[in-house]
Amino acid sequence: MPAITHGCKGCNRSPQLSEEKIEVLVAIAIQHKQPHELTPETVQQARMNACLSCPSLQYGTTCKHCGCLVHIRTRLAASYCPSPYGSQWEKEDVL
Amino acid sequence: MINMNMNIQDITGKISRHIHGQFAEHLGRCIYEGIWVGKDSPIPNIEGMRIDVIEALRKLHIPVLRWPGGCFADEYHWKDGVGPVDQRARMVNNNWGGVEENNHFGTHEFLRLCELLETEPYISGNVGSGTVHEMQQWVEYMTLDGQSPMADWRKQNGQDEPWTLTYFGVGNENWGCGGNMRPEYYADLYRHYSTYVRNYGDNQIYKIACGANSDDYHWTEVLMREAGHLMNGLSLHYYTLPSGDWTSSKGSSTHFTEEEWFTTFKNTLYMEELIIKHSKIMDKYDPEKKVGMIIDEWGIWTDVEPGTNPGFLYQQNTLRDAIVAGVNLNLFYKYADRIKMANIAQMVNVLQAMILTEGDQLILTPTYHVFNMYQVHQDSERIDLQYTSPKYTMGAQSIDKISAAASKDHLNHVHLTICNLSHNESESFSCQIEGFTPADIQGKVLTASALNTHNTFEQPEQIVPVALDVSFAKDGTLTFELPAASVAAITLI
Repeated sequence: MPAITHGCKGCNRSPQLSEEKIEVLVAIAIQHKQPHELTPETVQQARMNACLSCPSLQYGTTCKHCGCLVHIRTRLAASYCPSPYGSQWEKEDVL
Repeated sequence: MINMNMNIQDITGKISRHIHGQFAEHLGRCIYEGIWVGKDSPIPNIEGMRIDVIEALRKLHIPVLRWPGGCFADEYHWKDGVGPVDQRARMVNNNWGGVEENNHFGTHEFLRLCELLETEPYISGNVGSGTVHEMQQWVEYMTLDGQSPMADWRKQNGQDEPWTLTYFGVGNENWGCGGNMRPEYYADLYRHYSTYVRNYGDNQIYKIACGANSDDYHWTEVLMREAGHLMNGLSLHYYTLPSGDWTSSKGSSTHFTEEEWFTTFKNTLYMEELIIKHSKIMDKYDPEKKVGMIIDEWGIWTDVEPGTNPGFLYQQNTLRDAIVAGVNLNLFYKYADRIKMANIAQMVNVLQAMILTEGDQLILTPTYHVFNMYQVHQDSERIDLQYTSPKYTMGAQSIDKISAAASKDHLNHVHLTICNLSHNESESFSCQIEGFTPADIQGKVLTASALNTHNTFEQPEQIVPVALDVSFAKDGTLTFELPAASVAAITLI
């Protein structure tokens, strides 16, 4: 068993994320995805527009209903909008 | 083949039901969205709390629930969280990145949740940034039957009768986020603050002092020496990290190698050394074991689920998590003469959770199923189970392959819980039962073909308990076989 640090456990991290950090997280999330697993750019942008105007968006990045970064969730083709008020994406997806 | 021997007359004490306690902190989506959605939510709720989550948790018969933190506790000012919801102060949760806390879930809501879950509340008080007066008034607000400024305020806020509150923590992790204190300083603060955590009327508070972080034995030594006579319980926090490293990657919750599987269990079994060594110090100052060891934060802590906000500490939960839970619970029963409570971190959506939610959906995790299978041990009498575990070896390192516990409940039913830690070897068991002939036997096992099997919102029942084949011979021998990587529970009726 390695020595244990007696100070902070390292849990004190912020949910506020910089644009640079988000870019890194997006790159990690999609790096092994096949093209068909990702949304076309038009759909992704429509989903993002819906998320960015949604009252359930927190910190400008995070859906409060699933804890996901919308920059990533909107890019994954299999994703859905988890809002209990009904999907905010459906009409945009068919554009 | 493992030969076990169980004489049901070999009782070694009672297993406190509070070992099956839970922890819910204002962090990520544990409280908000996981439990509290508000009265106006389209998600079916009772007084703002999700009915689906409450119904699932009620089945676990959770004995005690710790709240509001964690780190949040030493930032929390309880007066912000009572009174009309729309008039409650908004605050900044500095421990969790400065997120806004609207205080919609406060003292009344938490204690109502406990009533709905039929669980006992365990409240963590604020030492790090709160005052003695504030702590004294909170206890008075909740428990004083009669007239006083705080009792009258409680009544104005809709609660005429005082609540019953037994468990109260005087601070949390005061060696870290709760003030970065030295044990000598905290011991004096504990003596000071706990003096004013009063018993009003018939309400008797079980006072829990902040204990050590993992293997900080000096902390336990100082606290027991300086304040042991003034406390009922002393906490201990230890998390299982697959990598064993806080500073870089803790390891993925779902993508891990066989070596990481092994290392995870090696790290979780370190809990036994911690219990033994901290107990030895406690024994020195408290040989009669009046002070309970309260392991009020434990569980597996991995990297967050990719794509989720890193500050929310949301992780998936696999077969590996289930066995981590089973191993730790078996350990806690073994040392139940000293361990009086344990609270897994955390109940919903954070770390090793029972339940994950997404919008109006919910899934039960493998850890939920273990807590469900193991709840039979609550308040049972521990039976001394005799066996020698074969070794589980990876490279140059070895650990016990088997973790097991047995108990007898108030109906004289006998319960056996066993984990097979090996990632690839099944194991046969022959258990000689003495002093009991069962009329019926029921067995369940939780396992899967892949080590990282987990439930998802698309496939919520990828891993659920199934029946375990168990035989009982006239000579009193119980036989069964456990698959590799499995958790089982057997009941003899």
